[in-house]
Amino acid sequence: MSVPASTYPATPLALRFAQRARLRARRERWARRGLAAAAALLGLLVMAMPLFLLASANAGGGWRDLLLPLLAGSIKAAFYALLVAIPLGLGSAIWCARFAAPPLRRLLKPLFEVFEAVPAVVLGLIAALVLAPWLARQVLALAVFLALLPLTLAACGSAWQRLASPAWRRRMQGRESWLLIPPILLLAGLALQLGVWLGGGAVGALLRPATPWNGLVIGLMLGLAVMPTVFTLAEEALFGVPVELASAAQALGATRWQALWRLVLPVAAPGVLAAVLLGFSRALGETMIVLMASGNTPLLEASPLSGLRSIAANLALEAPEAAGGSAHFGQLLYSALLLFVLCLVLNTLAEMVRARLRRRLAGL
Amino acid sequence: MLRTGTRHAPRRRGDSGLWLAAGAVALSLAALIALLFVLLQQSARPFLPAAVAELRWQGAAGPQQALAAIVREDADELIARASEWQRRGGAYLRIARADLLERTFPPDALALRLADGRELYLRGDAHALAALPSAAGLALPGMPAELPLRRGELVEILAPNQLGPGGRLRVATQRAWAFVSGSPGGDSGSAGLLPALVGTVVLVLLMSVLVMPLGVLVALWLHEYAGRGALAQLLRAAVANLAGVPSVIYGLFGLVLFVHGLGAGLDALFHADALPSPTWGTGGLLWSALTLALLTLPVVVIAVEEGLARVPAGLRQGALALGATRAEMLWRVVLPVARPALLTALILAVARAAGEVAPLMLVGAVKYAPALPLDGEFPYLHLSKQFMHLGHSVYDLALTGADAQRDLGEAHAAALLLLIVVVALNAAAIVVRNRLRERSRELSA
Amino acid sequence: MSRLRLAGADGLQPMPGGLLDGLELALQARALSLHYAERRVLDQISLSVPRRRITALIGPSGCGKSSLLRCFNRLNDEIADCRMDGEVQVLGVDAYAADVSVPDLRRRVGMVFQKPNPFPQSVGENVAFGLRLAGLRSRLELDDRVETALRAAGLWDEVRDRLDDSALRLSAGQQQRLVIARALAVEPEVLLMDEPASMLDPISTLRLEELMVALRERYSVLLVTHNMQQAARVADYTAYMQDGRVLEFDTTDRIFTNPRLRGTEDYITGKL
Repeated sequence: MSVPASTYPATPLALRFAQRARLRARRERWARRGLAAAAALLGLLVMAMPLFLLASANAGGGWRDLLLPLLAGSIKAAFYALLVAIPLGLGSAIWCARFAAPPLRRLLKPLFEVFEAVPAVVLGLIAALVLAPWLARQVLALAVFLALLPLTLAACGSAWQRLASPAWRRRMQGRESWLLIPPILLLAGLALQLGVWLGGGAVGALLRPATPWNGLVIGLMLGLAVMPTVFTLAEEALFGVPVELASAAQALGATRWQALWRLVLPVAAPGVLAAVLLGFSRALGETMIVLMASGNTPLLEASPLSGLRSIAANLALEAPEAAGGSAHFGQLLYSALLLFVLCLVLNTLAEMVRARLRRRLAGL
Repeated sequence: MLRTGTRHAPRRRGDSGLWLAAGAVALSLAALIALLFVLLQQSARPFLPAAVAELRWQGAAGPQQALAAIVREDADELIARASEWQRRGGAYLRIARADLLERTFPPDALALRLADGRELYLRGDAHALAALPSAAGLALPGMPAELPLRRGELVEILAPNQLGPGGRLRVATQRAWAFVSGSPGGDSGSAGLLPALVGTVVLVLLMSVLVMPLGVLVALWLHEYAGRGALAQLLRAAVANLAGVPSVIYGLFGLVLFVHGLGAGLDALFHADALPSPTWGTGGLLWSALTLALLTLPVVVIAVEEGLARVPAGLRQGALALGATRAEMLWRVVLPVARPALLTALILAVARAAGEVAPLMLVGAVKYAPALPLDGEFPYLHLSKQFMHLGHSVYDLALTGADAQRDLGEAHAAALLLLIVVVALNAAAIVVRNRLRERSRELSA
Repeated sequence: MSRLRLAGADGLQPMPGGLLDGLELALQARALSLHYAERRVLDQISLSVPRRRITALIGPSGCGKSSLLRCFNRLNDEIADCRMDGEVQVLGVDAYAADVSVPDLRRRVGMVFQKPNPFPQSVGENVAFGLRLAGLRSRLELDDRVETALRAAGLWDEVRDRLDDSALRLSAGQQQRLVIARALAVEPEVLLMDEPASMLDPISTLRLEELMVALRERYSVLLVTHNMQQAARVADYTAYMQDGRVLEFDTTDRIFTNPRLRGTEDYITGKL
């Protein structure tokens, strides 16, 4: 093999590089400056947001009468939402990360992502117009359903373990969740019947909500809205725990659930906690569902059967009408500052806890 | 010891928790399916032609009779709509079951729709009616003499009781299309989503144009120039936190910064003659787009940074080793390779922005804007104008509609449309992202 | 003009025993130490690489061969937490002096990586990449220079009809020669090769070795390799590294037939 002589002498190319060197260096400098300027602009905006809230927020004299009920409303809504989101999101995450067959997991993950993308206004619409009027008459049925659900699931589980042939059990391993849909639907039907049956009595009267648009409706729908957030983060944390940890425990005689509960969950606990914290933060800030389905009455009541008014919904209702610079607007800004700080603290806590999980997993 | 565990595998007493977890998945899926089902069912309602019944019931002043469309019924009562001779939404009948004396469905019952959305229920021959010349006056039994009608005023003639399932579906499809592609008609609340759809699209496009350059530049600085310096870490933490700030606070921020601040300033400078009625100092398209751009900035920065991190190190080093400056390496090698990541970032931002309503309530979307933000009149794109938005229409139709029965159905239809748009965008993002991951695996394999 | 001057009077002390007497030096490292974070990768290295010869770097994995290579074109600058002490001269000029233009240095010191890293562009665009940086626009000149570089890399006959195809569709061996063509196109004076044949099949490896020998006429080559036979076949000089130090440097013949140190012998004969 021979090297053909270059058709160009060495200097021209080197010369051209030399001629362009200053231009290229200048371009590089400008690129660096431009990018830094963009970053600085973003930094400025980030700083501006809390600063303007701080500067013009003004509680006035309305702290007790105006802001406290709003804060209580936000916390109440978020609390009931978590009561729904934690069992559903965490349970699904546990199943999906540790027990589901891989094809099922590949199906479930994007499904929950799509769930997360459903616009809040759509969920709010269904909550306000369909769920609320319906639930106003079916609180009892819901209570019956929730009370019987764990029992039903456990009973289905043990029945399956005892009655199904080993071949079927193996075939459905990691897909058991499909088996549970018919019993859940059956239970729902049964609960509805029981609700009608028992509804006339004293219990029915006790469980009659003051208004169709109440904490219960908010809890259910906001819970569903927040559930994918909890799921995604918790699933990530649980999936990151090495399989060997669980299989070692199972080799020592622990059941699949025991291995999860005693070994996997404690290791992934920071990630799960972060998921709950971020879910709480999202629920606090969610506007449309609460705005549409909570009745927007500023009450200081913890009961799930009464209405509420949250900071976020209050902002959406009143800020467009309030005159800039007025005392009323100052109060709105104050409430926004409150919400901002709450979310900031929750997000930062979650981030810190997640960093801890990452360190812990890196050590394994 | 080791073997006992496996031998007694069939009797796992501690495993009921596992079934609870499986139940959580099943319940979540059931909830998702139920939500979709309800939405579909509710949004189909205003479009499916209702059966028209001859009703006889016990009113306060003795037995009454009317030809009316059955809107909904449950165990206790029945809601029907009689002919709307006066105004749309003004002729609902609410009849308790106990009071209902008789209900028949005459096959020759007609449902006639007028251009303004009113519906009339009469008896007659649909084909004969349709064949009339448009100037001909209508003469049907039951028409009040003082309200004459011509054939040309009717936009739809149906004999709903004669329609089979296929016919009902065809009518529903036609009506749904007319609803999506139509404009709202005056004071009747709404009868079309087109302005809202156009408003949403224009808003989202404008937002993309604003957010993408800044987001990509910031991501490039963070990932390529800032390294792990304290400043970069601070900015990164700030961006992560920005992603968790409630959207309504962005709306408030936009209201103060853009509407009260920038907008009022612009008015004082350039539109002083028009004051006190504001030109820029009120919610509008540009302010909404800027607010949404701020809102989606963290999404873009995080997604682009992730994409940049996936560009194989070998390509960067290859470019640098040839004597490329950092900017040349980014422009000629890294950005082209990361293009799908930019696309993912864009889609995620658009999906997030398209479904967001709360901030728009503060900075510019309105219930009814007669003009589109985009038209043939100079300067074609009206940045300062208020506009209609799909998500906002859902909220509005649901809570403040004048004609509850129709509007609620239409609110659901608008919600369904919004959901389809947003889910399609998200699905696209997921697909592009998965392709991207495969590609980066190929590149680095 | 370029800020790099050709080898001048400030040349460093030659290596032991007048080994490189009378030869111009392409690369020189003196008392070179390198730290990644707290970990010391190179320890007081001194090495001279002669011009227009092939010098091989051999030694066990993780002994710092690649890190040393990256000191010569300052690619270690890209790694955060990387600290370097000592002196590096490229073509007689301090490569780490404040006024050195790094892009120009890297243009003169081409590099070929262990894993072929063609850009996801066409074959032709890959080779033209560096030329475009010089501002070359004329199609004619670009085509001409691309052809020259591809010929020099012994790839022209295989890809002359596929210049517009994606470079990712070439075989691994072709990709590696494409990458060499890409480096040659900008007319470097030194080529750093970091185990260029480790991912290739035996036939591609053979072709690559023939190419290296051919390149020797015009370029100074510093080759990192794991393959003893390869070093023996192509290199004029060989340096043996271990634990971040150059333990032995000599002509390839002497290293392979009569090494001074026990460690070198053990490594060459496969005992280490």
